[in-house]
Amino acid sequence: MAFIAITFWLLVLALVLMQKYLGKPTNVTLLEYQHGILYKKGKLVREVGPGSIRVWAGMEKVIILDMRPVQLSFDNRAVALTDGSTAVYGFSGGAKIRDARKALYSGQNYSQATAFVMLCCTRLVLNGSSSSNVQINRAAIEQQIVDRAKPKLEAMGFELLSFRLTQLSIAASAPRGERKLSASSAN
Amino acid sequence: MYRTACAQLRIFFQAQSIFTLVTTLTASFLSSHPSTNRLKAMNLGDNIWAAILFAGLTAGILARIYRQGGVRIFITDYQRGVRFVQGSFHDLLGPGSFASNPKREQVTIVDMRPQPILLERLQFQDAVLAGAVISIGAELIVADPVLAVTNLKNPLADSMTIVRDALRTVLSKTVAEPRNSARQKAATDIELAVNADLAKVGMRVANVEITELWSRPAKSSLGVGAN
Repeated sequence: MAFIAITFWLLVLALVLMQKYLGKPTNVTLLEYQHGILYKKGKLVREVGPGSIRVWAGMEKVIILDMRPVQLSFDNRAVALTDGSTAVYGFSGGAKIRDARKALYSGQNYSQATAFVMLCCTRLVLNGSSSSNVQINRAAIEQQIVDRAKPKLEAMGFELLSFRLTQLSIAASAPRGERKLSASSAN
Repeated sequence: MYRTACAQLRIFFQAQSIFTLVTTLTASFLSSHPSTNRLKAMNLGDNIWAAILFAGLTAGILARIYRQGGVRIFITDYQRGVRFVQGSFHDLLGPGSFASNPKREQVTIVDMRPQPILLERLQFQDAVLAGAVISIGAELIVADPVLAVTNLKNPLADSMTIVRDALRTVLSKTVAEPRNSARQKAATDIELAVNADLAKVGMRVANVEITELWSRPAKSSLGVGAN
């Protein structure tokens, strides 16, 4: 009798301790366009693909990433060219995650990484071009932007799917802010 | 570090004392019988008392376990947890799974991954008073989670103001030159200056890239100078 009681209570105690430190076994289901990264006690263990995975909720955690392509589009942005003119540009593009692990660590919000790289590269390439170059060699400029963006995105775990300059025109001979500055100083 | 070690030692000794109590009581209870097959030798009354004793002890341990921690906090390797106990900073939690009692302590989780930031078309006057435009791209990183959490309400948004101010200060002291070498030097200067200001609040910037730099050529004379 006593033996049974002791065993019973030890079992209860063991179950409670196990639940406290390991948590409850939980099923996590990843859809076909999702990818997961499994962490155990805070450390990265492995990547998991679509399907169902059983984790101990107290010790393990699955961070889910959406692998569907990210589409982005920006319009009416201004940039100063080498000769002092201002170009107004817009672009659209797409990218998708190639390496889930790299993408997760690339930034706090991994979906912003693509936009950040594309915005930086487009502005940098256009800022290094002259107005005549912009008007004549649009395709070459597009290619330059792609060449610059691709390795950066790859380093962040993304693959560039498409990039197109949807808008590119010369607006004025000096940046808008600069003209405002001159006007105010003249008064 | 010292506090954490003390807390761990205290928990260890508490657990050990409970275990010792349980084993001592069991041993004394069982050894009070002269028979070799003690369990069989116990009469019904003893068995009931043993069961009650163990039930009580287990209930006590269970109550203690439940009282200890309300929730579990999971911190991944790109996060840190800043633990405040009764309102004051206690320790910094690294990656792992931790029990936390929300009634007594609060844990603020800080994401240590870089946050890309863009500052576009910032207009300024450089050292020779020429009007100029600059755009930069950079990564904002939490350098010291404790400082960041205790000094900034929103570490990312509030840091942007500091970055902008530091940028204007450093740019007004330099001559804006769009050449590549000058750009790189300007980027290094910006990174140093901005980091000096951000260090006070536990943040820093990295990989500063000047994506746009244009300055109006300085006018040689405006009625002042040689004449």
